[in-house]
Amino acid sequence: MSQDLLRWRDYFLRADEHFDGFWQPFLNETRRDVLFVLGAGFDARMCDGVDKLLSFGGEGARDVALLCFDEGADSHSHSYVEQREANLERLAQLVEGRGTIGRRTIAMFSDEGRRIGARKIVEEFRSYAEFRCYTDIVVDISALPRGLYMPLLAKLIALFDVEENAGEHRNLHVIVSHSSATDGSIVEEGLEESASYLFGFAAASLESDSTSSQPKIWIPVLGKRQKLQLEKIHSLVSPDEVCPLLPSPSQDPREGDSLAIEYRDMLFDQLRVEPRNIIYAAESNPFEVYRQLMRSIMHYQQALGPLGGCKVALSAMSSKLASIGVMLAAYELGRRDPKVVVGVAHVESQGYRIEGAAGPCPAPTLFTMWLCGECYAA
Amino acid sequence: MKDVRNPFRLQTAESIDSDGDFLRLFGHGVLDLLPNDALTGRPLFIRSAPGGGKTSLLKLFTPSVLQHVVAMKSSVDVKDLVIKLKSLGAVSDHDVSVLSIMLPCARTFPSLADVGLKGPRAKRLLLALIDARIILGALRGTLIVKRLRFPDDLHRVTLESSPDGQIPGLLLPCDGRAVQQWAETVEQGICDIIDTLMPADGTGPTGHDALLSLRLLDANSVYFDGKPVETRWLVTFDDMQKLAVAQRAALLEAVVEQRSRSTVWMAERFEALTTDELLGSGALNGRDGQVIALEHEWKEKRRFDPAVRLIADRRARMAADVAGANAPDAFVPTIDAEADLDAQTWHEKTQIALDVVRGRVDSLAKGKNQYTEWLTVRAATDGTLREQLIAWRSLEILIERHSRKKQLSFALEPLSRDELHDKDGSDVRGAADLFLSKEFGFPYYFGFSKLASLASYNIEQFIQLAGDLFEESLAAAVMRRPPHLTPDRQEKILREAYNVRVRDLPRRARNGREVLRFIDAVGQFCQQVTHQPNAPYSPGINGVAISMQERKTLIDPKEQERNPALKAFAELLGTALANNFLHAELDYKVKGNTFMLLYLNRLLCPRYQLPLGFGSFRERPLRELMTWAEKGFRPLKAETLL
Repeated sequence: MSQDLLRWRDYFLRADEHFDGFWQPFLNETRRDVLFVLGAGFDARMCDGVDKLLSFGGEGARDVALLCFDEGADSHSHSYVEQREANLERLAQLVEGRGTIGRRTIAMFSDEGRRIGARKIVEEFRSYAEFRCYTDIVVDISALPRGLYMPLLAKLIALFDVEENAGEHRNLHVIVSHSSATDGSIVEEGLEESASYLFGFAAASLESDSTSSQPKIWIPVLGKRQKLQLEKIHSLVSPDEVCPLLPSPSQDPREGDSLAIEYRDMLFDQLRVEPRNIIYAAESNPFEVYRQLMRSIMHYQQALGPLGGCKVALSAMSSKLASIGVMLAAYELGRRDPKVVVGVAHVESQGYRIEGAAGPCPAPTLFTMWLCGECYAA
Repeated sequence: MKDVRNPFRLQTAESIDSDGDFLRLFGHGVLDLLPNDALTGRPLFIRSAPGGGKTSLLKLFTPSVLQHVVAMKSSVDVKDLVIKLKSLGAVSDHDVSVLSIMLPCARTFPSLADVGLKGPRAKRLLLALIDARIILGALRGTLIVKRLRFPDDLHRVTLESSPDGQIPGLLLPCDGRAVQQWAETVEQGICDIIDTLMPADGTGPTGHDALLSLRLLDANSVYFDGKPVETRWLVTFDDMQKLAVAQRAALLEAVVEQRSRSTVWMAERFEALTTDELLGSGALNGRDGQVIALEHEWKEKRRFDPAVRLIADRRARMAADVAGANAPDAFVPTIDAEADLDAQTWHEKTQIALDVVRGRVDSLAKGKNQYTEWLTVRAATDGTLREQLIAWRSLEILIERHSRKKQLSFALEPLSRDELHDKDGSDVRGAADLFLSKEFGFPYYFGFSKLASLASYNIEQFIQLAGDLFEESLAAAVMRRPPHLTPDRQEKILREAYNVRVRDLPRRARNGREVLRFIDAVGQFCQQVTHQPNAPYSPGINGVAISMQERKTLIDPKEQERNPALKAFAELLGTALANNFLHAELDYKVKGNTFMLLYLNRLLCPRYQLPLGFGSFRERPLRELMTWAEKGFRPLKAETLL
């Protein structure tokens, strides 16, 4: 596949000191009205991005859309209510005198107990009109669950695409405070009984009966301790072909090997995955994950085209950074002509638990990704 | 099929690749639970806990599997199955006689409920989607039984018009390709409504007012090569519990009101806290449908043991086919061959236990003349060492019982041998057996019959447990050792199976920690009640019960709103039932009242040293169960146990 066909072939990603190197001049060169969208969570990294960006000063509004989500009375996350309150207090102090904080409550369950968080967060931002007074939207996904930020970002890109067609360019940035050690210590608890396709991408279309004869390709982006999720997703997708994506290069050079060992039973004994099916992508570059996914999916689509094409299920089971790559690939392929049916298979959980000793962790690294707006307007 | 070293690891129908392998592994015992008119009568509601075998049953009737059955009819593997299927009218000597269309309800339908459409439109779209899938299924099935390819040979199928079978958007008559295109358009239109990120603008298919597909099937509108397809249609809905409440009601209403000639089966998980309206409401009664509760049927018809025996032996045979001489070719002998505590290897331990128990009985009866004859009779007991041990332990229980009653009645008359004979029933011996295992460490949970009981009438659980045992036999065979498992080794493996089941529960399920606390409390309660010296509920209890009135309170939304703890407990109980840790029975009548029984899954019984039979429980007030869920079990004072 030609790289020219990729929407995010040329991408914008900055990390660590380059994060500062980008944002400081960006916020100061001209007036920028910024809306931060972030989740009210217990993760200590919740305010890192906002803190840093506000410290750079600059003219213009600095408002916050705070997404409050309740995972149910029995969620283990309630054990960390004090940490969440501390985060909210810190956020209030940071924004005081600079802008306003608007709370938006996301219902996570329907009256009958079905998961509706993804649909509700998408409904929360109905049209691009509500962003008209901002030049830049910064979504901080550090304290947002995957089941919320992936559909949210898909919706925002879709809204800004419509706007762009009308000749307006609004900037959409995603920032995340990333730390493998902290991510590794946060464990999902109370998994849903079965996996489902995430709203915001092909969900119903993947389950369509009329296309059931098309082969299904499953590309799980593997991360640690996801065996239960992997089993549930496999039983949902029931794939004809499995192509696991492993991190390489990665901070720990043996990360890919460790994952292959961790899931050896399932991948090699049970599913008989061919070693040549394994895809590798850089651990900390979501656009590389996106590129590798696009390349593989387009290859399958091309090869199976004469037989009616294929359907693809992606699963983001690794870091938040990698999941952005998954989101971008699923978003773009679903809007191509001809459209490729790509869904994101996912297992929701009731909450999170912090595991392991509270010893010193390496300081998290701030990443920023620019997904839509001025830099792509050529 | 992929080489499967241990075929017991293929636990679900979905995990078996080919129809041929599915048939080789399928245990046809479940067909004994179906009524004779299952394929011609009223709609059938098939209910069980997860893993009860519903999906396998539905899969058996799919066209490709039945086609395989007919093709393999002379094979010994399917001989009995063919007889049963013929008696139900599913196959004849040369042909498939019923064409089934299987619709998994978890697919797409629940998402449609969350789009936020108005009730009537949501219902119309639901029925349209079901219609599209049923019609597609009918076309696919027709080609499969003619040994043709879908969709390549669709031009040979036509859909004729019928007086009351008009379908919006589909001009009849037309050929199969046009029908497929129509179904695709309807499906895609509805999928787009579900998947769109932008607010729905009201466009898309208009939907259907009724299940029009059933009318077409009733009118024999499907033609193949210009002739009507002479068949009986069977439409099966799997996982009905996944539908939204309004969807389920709409589907039931459509099926019942239309009184279709096509047969409809609806498989759903038994959810003791929500589904009692099934045949209780005005809309649905016994005339409208028949309920087959698999666990109940297994119990009533006493067919579970032979059914799982067949399943186990089929899987063992498949392993032998793969591994050749290195694997045992039958399952039951691997666990029954050495399942005898009378064997020489147990004599020393049994003798020690016998001496201890006899010594205790002598002390209990010392100086009490009323037990003299009982002691004499027991001392003269014939039988193996093991039988003698159980007999003495039973006597100890009976003396304990009598001495407690005696204190109440002051009856000091000598007790006769007839009285001993009357009181010394199998329940007392069962309790004695259990007590001995707890006190002296004799294995209790071993052998095929106990294994079948540990499965709690759940096929998947049985296959899982049997698979754990078989794994060990396979390993022994590889090392050229006898594949038979000793009783103590079997018990160890089965206890470990419990650990594996609960280990990940907090991660695996909602409210997992709370569920664990609650079932642990129920287990401890049952243990305390069971292991009293006089064994008052011999052989013991393994369940609790609340009155149906309290159950009504528990599931009442208004009560739940008033009392959040009630709501939390109802959710916890829902998770415990959904994950098959508890097994519920509704409307159990006792002492002039009706109860909801909550039995522990039998897999939990080894942990608390409980018996495996059904029927023994203790009623507890709802508030007490709620306290257990919140704070764990607090041991009861002796007098409150009785």
